Amino acid sequence: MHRMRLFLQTWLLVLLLLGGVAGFGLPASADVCCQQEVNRLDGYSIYFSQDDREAHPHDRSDEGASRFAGLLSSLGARILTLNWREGIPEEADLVVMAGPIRYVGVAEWARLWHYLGNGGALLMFADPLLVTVDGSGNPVTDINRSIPAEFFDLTWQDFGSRARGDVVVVEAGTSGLNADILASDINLSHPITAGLRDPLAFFTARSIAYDASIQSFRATPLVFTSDDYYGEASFAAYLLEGTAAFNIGIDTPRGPLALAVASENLLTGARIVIVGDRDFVTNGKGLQTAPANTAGFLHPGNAYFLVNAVGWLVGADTASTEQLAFPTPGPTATPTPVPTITPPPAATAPS
Amino acid sequence: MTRLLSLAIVLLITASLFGGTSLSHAQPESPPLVVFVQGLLVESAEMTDTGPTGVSELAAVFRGLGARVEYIDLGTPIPQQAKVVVLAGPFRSPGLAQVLYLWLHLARGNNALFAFDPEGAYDGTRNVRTRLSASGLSALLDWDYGVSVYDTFLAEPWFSVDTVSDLYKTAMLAHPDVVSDPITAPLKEYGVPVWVWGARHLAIERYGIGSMGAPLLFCESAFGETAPAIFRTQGGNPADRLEPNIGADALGRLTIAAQAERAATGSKVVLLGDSELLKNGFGLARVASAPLYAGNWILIQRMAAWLLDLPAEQWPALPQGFTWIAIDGQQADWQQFAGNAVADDRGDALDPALDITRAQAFSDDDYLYILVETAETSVASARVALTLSADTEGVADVLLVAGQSGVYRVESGSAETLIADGDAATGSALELRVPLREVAGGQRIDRLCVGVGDAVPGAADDCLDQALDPLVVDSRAPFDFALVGHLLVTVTRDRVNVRSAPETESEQVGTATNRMVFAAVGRNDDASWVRVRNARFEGWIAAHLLMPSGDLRWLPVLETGSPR
Repeated sequence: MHRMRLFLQTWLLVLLLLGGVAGFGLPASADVCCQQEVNRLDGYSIYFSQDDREAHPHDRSDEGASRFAGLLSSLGARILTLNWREGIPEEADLVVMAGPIRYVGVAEWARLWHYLGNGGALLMFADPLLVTVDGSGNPVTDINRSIPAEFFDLTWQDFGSRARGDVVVVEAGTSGLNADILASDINLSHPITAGLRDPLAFFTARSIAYDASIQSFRATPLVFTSDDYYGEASFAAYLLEGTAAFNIGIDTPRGPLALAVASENLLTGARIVIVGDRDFVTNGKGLQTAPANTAGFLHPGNAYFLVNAVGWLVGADTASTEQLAFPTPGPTATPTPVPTITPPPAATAPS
Repeated sequence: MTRLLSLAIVLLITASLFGGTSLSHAQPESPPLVVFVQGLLVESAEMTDTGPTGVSELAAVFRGLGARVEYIDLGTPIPQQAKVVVLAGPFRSPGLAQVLYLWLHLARGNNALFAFDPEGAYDGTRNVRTRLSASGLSALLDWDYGVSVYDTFLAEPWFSVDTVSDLYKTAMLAHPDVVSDPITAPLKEYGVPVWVWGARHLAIERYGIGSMGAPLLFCESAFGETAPAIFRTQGGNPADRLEPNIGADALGRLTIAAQAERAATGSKVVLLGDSELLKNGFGLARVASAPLYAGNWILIQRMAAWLLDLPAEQWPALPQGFTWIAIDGQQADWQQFAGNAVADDRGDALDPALDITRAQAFSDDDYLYILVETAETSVASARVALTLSADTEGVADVLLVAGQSGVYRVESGSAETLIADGDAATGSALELRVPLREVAGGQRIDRLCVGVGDAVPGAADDCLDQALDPLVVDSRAPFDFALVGHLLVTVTRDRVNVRSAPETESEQVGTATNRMVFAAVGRNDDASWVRVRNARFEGWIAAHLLMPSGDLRWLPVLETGSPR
C-alpha cells in the first residue's frame, strides 16, 4: 500500500513538473484551463513590419504584441523586424503586419507583392478604425485608411480574400451598436482552426470577403459571426452621432460574416491570413491575461489561433509538435470587459 | 505537405495542358520583347502614335536593334517574357496595381525606361498630374536603384511665364555628364548636347546600397523651380513668379537623366526627367527623313541598346548625315577627308613640333574644319594663323588664330577677339573648327602658319607652301555650338531674312529657314529686332518672325548696325 502510494506520488510529481514546463514556468499546482497540440516553429524567421505603427513584438504595453511574439519565440521561431527599405529577405518565412495605422506606401506593397509572388506568407491584421487624439486631447475615431482598397483588389484577384470597409456590429437594443464579438462559429476543417475549442474574441473588426469557388487559389473562412451581425459602413459616423441603421446596398448584409480568412495561391504556393481586427493580437485585448503578465489568457482561443495560423503560414513540420497549455486565468485587479458570447448559427458552413 | 501536393497537382495539370513536352525541346532564342505602357490608366506617350507627341520613333529604335515591340495598358501584369518596359511621359499617377506590376517586372531582373515630366507641366491641352512623389514609384526607385526624382521644373534664367505656357519654348540643352558612361560616350567625345523641353531634375547615387548608377545628362544654367503655380497660366496671371529662390529652388548642376543597375537582380533602369527628348516631334524629330537633333538620337539609340543588354559590338553607329569630327588634336577621324591634303616640306622649321608636314581642310553646312600635322607631336603652346580670302570682291580677308585657348579673330591692330563657338586642340596634330559665319564666305585658305608665343604666327614661322582649298562635304555639324548659354529664338516662317542692321532696308546677310534656331545676343531699343547668331549667320531678324524662349526685353540693347 505504501509502495502504491509512493508510486502515485512519484507520477503525480512527474505530471506536475511536465505541466509546469508546458505552462511556461507557471507553478505546477496552477489549474490548466486548456491544452492543445501545436506545431514547433524551430528556425522559422518571422518578420514583423513596424514602419506603419503596427503592434510591436517588443512592446509589452496593452497596445503591443509582445505576447504573440513571445508565444512564437517559445516555439522556436526567430522574431525579426522588417526593414522595408532593404526589402523582404529571401529567408523570411512569414511577414506579420499587425494592424498598420499609418498609410502603407506603395513601395511597401510592391515589396510585399513581389515576396508573395515568390511563394511568401503574410499574416495581416486589418483594423477598421483609427483612433487619434485631437487638439484638446480627446480621442477621435476615424476610418483606418492605412491599407488602400487597391491592395485588397489584388488579394481578391490572387488569393480570393479581401477586407471590407465596414465594422461588424449587432444592434444592441437601445444601447446602440455592439462591435465586440466572441465568435464560436469556427470552421473546424482548416488546420488553423481544427483543434480550437475556445471562442475567438474580436474587438471592433471588419468583415472579410472570400471567394470559395474553384479558382487558382483556395480561400477558406476560419471564423464567423452569428447571422444577426452586419457590416456597418459608417461606424465612425455612428460613434460621432450615436445613431446608425442598416442601409441596404451600403452596409454589408446580415449573416454569418467571416472575420478571418486563410488563402493559398495554388500557382505560387503563397499563403495569407487576413484577420479583420488589430486588437485580436494585442496584449491588452485579444491576448489579455489575468493576472497581468502571466500565461493565463482570457481568450486562449486567440492564442491558439495565432500560433496555428503561423504554423500553417510557414508550412511548419506537422511531425514536430508540442502540447501548449495555459493556466486558468485568475482574478484581475480591474474588471475585464468580456465580450458578449454570440450563439453559433444552425448551419456550420455558411455559403 | 498539403501545400506541396497542391503545387505538384497544378504543375501536372499545366504540363498536361501544354502537352508536357515543351520543356524537353530547346527553343530557338526569340527576339527580346519591349513593351510600351499606354492607354487610359496612365495616359503616357504612345508607340502607336506617329504624331509629334507619340513615341513611334523610339519604338522603331528598339525594333532596329532586333527587339519585338508591343504595348500594354498595365491593367494586368506585365508579360513574363518582356525584357524592357517603357513608360514615357505619363499624365496620370500610376495606381497601386500599376506600380506593383512595374516592380514585379524589375524584380525579375528585367529593365525599364521611365521618362517623367515635371508635375503640373502644361502641354497645350492638359497638365501632368502624376503625383510621382506620392505614388510610391519614386520611393522604390530611390530604395532599389539610388535614383531620386524631384518635383521641380527646370527653367533657364531667361525663361518667362510665357515660356512655361508653351512646351516648344522650353527647349534647353542638357550636356553629357563628366562621369564616363558608355551610353553618353559619343556625346562627350564630340561635345554634343541633348535637347530637352520642360524637364525635372533627378539625383543618382553613384554607389548605392545594392545598386550602382551614373548620371547621364545635366543642365548647367537652369534652376529647379519648385512652385507648381507657375503652370497656372490659363485665364490669368500665374500665382508665383518664375525666379530662382535660394533655399527653396534647386540650384547648380542639375541631373536630368540617369541610369542605374541593381546588383542583386541585374535589373537596369534609365530615368529621364523629360519625355519630350524621346518624342517624335521633339527630340527624335526628323527633317526630310534625317535626324534633326543628333545628340538625342545618339542618347536614345545607345540607351535602348544598353537596356536590351546588347554587346558593345552590336550598339548602333553614329547617325548619318552629320560630320563626326572630334576636336581633340588627333587625326584618326580625318581619313575620309584625306583627298585634298596638301603636303609641305620637312625641315623648314627649326622646331620639328612646329614643322608643318601636311594640312587638310573641309567645310560642312556649318563649320570649317582644319587639320595641321607637324613633324613631331605639337607642343601645347602651338598656335595656327589662317588667312582666308573672300571670293566676293570688296570683302576683306579674315585672319584667325587658334590654339589650346580657343579660336580668335584678329582685328586691325592685332587685337584678338574670342570666337566662343570655335574650337581648337593640340595633340599629335593641330585641329580646329571655325563657324562659317566667321570666314565671311572665304573658302580658300591663302596662308597657314604655325608658331608659338603670343604673336600671330607669320613669316618667321613655318608656313604652308601653297594655298589650301577646303573640301565641301554634304553633311551638317551634329550641333550648333553658338547656341550654348543664350536665350534661343526659333524662326517661325519658311524664309526669313537675316539683315546687317535692324531695319528692312539694310543689307541681307543670309536667309533663315523655318525651325532654324539662333542664339539671341541683343536687341534694338523697342525689342522689335533681335540680334541673332548661329554657326552660319549673324545679323538682325525682326522679332515678330521669331519664337523666343524668354523675354526679349532682358537682352542687352545694342547699337543699331553694330557688327558684333
